[in-house]
Amino acid sequence: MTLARQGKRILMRQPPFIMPCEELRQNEFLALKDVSFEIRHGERVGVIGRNGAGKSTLLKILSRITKPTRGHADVYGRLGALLEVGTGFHPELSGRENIFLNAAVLGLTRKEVARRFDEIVAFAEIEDFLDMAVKHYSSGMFMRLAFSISAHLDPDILILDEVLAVGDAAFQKKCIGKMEGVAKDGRTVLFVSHSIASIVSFCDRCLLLDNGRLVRDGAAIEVTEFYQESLTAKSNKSPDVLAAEKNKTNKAYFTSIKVTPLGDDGEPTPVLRVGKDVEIEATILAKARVTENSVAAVIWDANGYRLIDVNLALKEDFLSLDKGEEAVVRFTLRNVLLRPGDYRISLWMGRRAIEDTDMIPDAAIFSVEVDPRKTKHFQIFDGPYQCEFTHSMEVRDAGKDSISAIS
Amino acid sequence: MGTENQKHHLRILPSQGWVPVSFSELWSYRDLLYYLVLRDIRSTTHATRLGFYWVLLQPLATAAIISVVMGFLVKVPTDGVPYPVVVLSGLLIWGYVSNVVIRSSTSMIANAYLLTKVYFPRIIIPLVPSISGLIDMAIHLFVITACCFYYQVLPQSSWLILPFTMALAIGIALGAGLWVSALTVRFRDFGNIIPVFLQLGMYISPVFYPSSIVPAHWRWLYDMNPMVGIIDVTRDAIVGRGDVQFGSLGYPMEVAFFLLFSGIFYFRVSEDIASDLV
Repeated sequence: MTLARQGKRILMRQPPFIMPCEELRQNEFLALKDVSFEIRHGERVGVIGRNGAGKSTLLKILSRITKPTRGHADVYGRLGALLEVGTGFHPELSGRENIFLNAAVLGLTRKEVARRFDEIVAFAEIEDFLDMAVKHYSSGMFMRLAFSISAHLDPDILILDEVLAVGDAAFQKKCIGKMEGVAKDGRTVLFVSHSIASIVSFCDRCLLLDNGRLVRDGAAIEVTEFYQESLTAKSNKSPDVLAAEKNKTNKAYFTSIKVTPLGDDGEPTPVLRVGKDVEIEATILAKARVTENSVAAVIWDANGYRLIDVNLALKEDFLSLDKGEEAVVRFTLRNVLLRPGDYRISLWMGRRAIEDTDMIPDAAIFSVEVDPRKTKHFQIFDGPYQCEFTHSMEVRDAGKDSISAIS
Repeated sequence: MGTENQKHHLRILPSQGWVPVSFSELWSYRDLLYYLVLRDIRSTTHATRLGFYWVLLQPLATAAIISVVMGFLVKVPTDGVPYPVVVLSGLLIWGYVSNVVIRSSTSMIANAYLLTKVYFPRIIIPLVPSISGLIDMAIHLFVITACCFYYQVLPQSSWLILPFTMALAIGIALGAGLWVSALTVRFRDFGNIIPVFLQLGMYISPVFYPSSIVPAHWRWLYDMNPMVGIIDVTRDAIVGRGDVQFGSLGYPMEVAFFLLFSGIFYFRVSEDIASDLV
């Protein structure tokens, strides 16, 4: 079966009278522009994009909650959409009655529900509480029941909007299992999510929406990689550190830091992915002579745990600078086994237990992204470990401008 | 799998202006209507201690209070009919219509979370108050019967017209309800105006006085209210008057048809953007 649509626009603002207007007024915007695609029977397609890209609008149109302003969609087969669980639940009614109500809301007839009734109850594990008013259910029971009803819809085409982010871990596993079952049956699935890992592990194909436009349509791995890079490109600024207040007292200090993720070929890439290499380059300017200093770059996680410490002392290669000299210290961290997330780098320079020449706790922030190519087989371990690294140092005379700044 | 392809084809299109109601689609959603009505009835009586008995108590209590105030204190003339019967017969019709219109006006907004999350024929929503109100009306009829026996006003063949007058009341209530539910989505003020409007309506309709007390030179204006004909005939039929004016049902019937058809039209035209506005 195919699901196709041509050039669509949505007017999001109410026209003053009954007939819809053609022109946009001031506070209107196009939620989707010229989005066209075709999905074949049995395909598992992911939809990703930033918030406001138009993903939810797309789903609303497909599930007929909103009408498109222009264009059309052809849907062959029964379409079931899970945009939220528990739609229509009424607290005063019992679990049993709510099953029928919720199912009726989702489009099933009483007969169809009666047929699946036992399965629904078994999946939700609420056999003993069927006749109790739903307002007395715990939130866990509520979620299980809601998802169970939605999951037993058996549509030909299933649309999911991040509905899996509910419940405890055990239940999430159950939900994913059910989704896999549905997909294995050969049904078509359209899955909207922010989680790159779930998209890649579940979908073969992926659509990327940006500002209402369909920007990419292709293999899930490629589209998600492209998406990650576009996100980093938007927020990437090379971190510069000029510790103004320390200038006067330190003998030497860090003037800049650069964090460059490296690809498998050793060339810079925009995104740091799990297990890849990253290069940290720090520039140091010496106002006075420093001898036998170690330079360290430490990586901390968002909780303040110290995870990685790379420094010159480990390589027994120390830095000495004369007044007016500048050094560029480069650490290349290999195979960085950090979980996806945000991390902070701090820089330190000095002689352990003797003196701290300079220290910057928040030198840079960087994030690690999931590697779409490795979501199925990759094992990541968390916690501190000694990261393998290489280093290089370069000493040169600082330019004229820097010297005049010192004196 | 190939055979499924032809089974179910749906084309999603932009707003087409007015599209006739698909009764086959409504029929396929009849279970939803059933459960929504059930939910409606349950929620009003479930948690209260008196529960179901409230449905009985309400008309009785209202009638009792009005009887005391209007019947004994104000002494409204009733052409020999026991005053409580006058009131109850008026409330039978008016109570239903008023109840339905008020609940219809907020129906779309109250079900916002359903509208924005799932598809179903939207017209079901204003249908729910009209149907759940019928239960109240039926109970009310039962109360009237009991009251009539008490006052020795026995049911007669004229009672046969009652289903017809009640059907007219349903028509007007449903038509008005459709209008009001769609209007309130666009203009929230309606949610506040409607109760006031209905209050006024209660005084200009023969709810607790018979039409005979309206001065002749005002009747032309008074008769513009479609409820007048319906309530008058209902009352006369219940009481068993010989000269029930069936002809006065003609105008309310026209109004009912007009409200229903225009209401469906307006609702259908508005429902497409309802989920954006609600």
